[in-house]
Amino acid sequence: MTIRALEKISVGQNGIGSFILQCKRLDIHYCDHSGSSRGMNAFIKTHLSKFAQKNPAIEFAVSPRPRKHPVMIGHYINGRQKSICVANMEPSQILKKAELLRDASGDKVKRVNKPVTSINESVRGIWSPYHGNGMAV
Amino acid sequence: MRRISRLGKPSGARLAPAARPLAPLGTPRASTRPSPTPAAVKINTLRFYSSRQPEPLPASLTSGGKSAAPEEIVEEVEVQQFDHDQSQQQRLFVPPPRPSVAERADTITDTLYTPATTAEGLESIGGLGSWWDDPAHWPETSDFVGFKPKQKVQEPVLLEAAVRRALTETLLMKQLGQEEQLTGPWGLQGKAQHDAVLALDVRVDSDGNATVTGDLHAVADGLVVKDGESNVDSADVLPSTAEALAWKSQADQSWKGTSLQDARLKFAVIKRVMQLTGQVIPDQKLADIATARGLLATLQKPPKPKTLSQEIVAKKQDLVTLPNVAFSPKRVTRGDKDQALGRYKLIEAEFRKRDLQDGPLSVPKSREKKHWNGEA
Repeated sequence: MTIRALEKISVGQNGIGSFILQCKRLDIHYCDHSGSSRGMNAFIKTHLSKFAQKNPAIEFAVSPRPRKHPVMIGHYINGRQKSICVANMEPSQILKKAELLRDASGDKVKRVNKPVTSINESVRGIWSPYHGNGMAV
Repeated sequence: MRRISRLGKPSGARLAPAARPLAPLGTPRASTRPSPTPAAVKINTLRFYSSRQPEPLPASLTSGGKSAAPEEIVEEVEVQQFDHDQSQQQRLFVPPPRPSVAERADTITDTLYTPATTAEGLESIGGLGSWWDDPAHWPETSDFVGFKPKQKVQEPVLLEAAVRRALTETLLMKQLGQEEQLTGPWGLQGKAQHDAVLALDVRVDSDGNATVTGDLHAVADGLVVKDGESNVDSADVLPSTAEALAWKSQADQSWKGTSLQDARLKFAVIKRVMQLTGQVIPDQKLADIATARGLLATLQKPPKPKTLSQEIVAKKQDLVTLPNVAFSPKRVTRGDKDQALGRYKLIEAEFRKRDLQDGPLSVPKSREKKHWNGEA
């Protein structure tokens, strides 16, 4: 009796059934004195409260890092991190970067050069030279 | 081109009668006035004492009475003796005993005496040993007390009472013709004097010129310090906050319109406010102050928060109370992360086993660490 593998009925996809945000933690670092942190300090004072309220699934850790440029570091559930230096940026620009980190999957950024990507297997199947009628050369 | 008009010669330029000559350096002199700090404010008298055990006095200091010192040295030492009364004596530090001076080798008549050629076997003399390590030899009461209280008064209502008091005192001195007193040191009397000053009526006309009415001479007598007298009667210079609030609710607010354009008047008021509250007005803000109201606004303006975290704790409680936001006032170090995970104790224990680290991991081998261990 041959052993048959269980047939895959469906592929798990985030968002079908439930959605789990991939970003679990956002570290926000600023400097009290450096000019490059001016935008970041304003962001913490003006935008962070609303942004944190809208994203209760993310843990925000705000801490100073004296004499360093301001940085946001996103931690993801796949174990990876993504950091963005936000030196000399305006608070609205920093908000965009925070949204980028929130929406990122945490995967490495890959080059997509095909028009269509799919996680489904091909309907045609994989081509094999041993099947079919063959081709007269 | 001169852009800033020169100030006129101050009438109080000469030394005030109460001004005492400066003490020579090293002469033990009593600080004749205790803290001018109001009762609500406690002076931070944090002092560090040596943990060393007191050692016996060096040989040169033990035989104090039998000194064979040359005349001039004896005189010099005698200058340092106290001529104060017993109450002042307790407030001073205790000087080490008079040093004894060895006889010169060429004046020794003893024929058996042979001068030493090496230091071996000779007893060590000189130095004060651990005299100053004993706290009993320099009590806290002997600490220097400056003109300005160490701790600032920040309470707005107390500042208002202090400005009103300073302004009234300055105006009445000017009104009595004692303009030379405007630059002199004034006495710090207790609450009774404060109430007496605030009871005086200050009337301000449309030009900002103020007139004080009431028993001016009684108040002025308390202000002027006689030479050699202590200028402090009580440690309670300002009233309590509740008393100041009660005064403010009944007081007429028109005094705030008093003009401070006169530089001598402004100087005297600001000097007195500094003496009462410990608040110093920086030079760049002095020119903007034109009225008593302006002075009060400058004083009452809360100091700018030094760090973002201080500002957020003070003003943005909605952000601090969010359950998913954590604020750290200091840099989060590797040690902090380990502590959060519970890994710190394990790492320290492993280091201790290998005899690699004897303190907390987060502390580098720095100068501060030396200080904590009591090293120089």
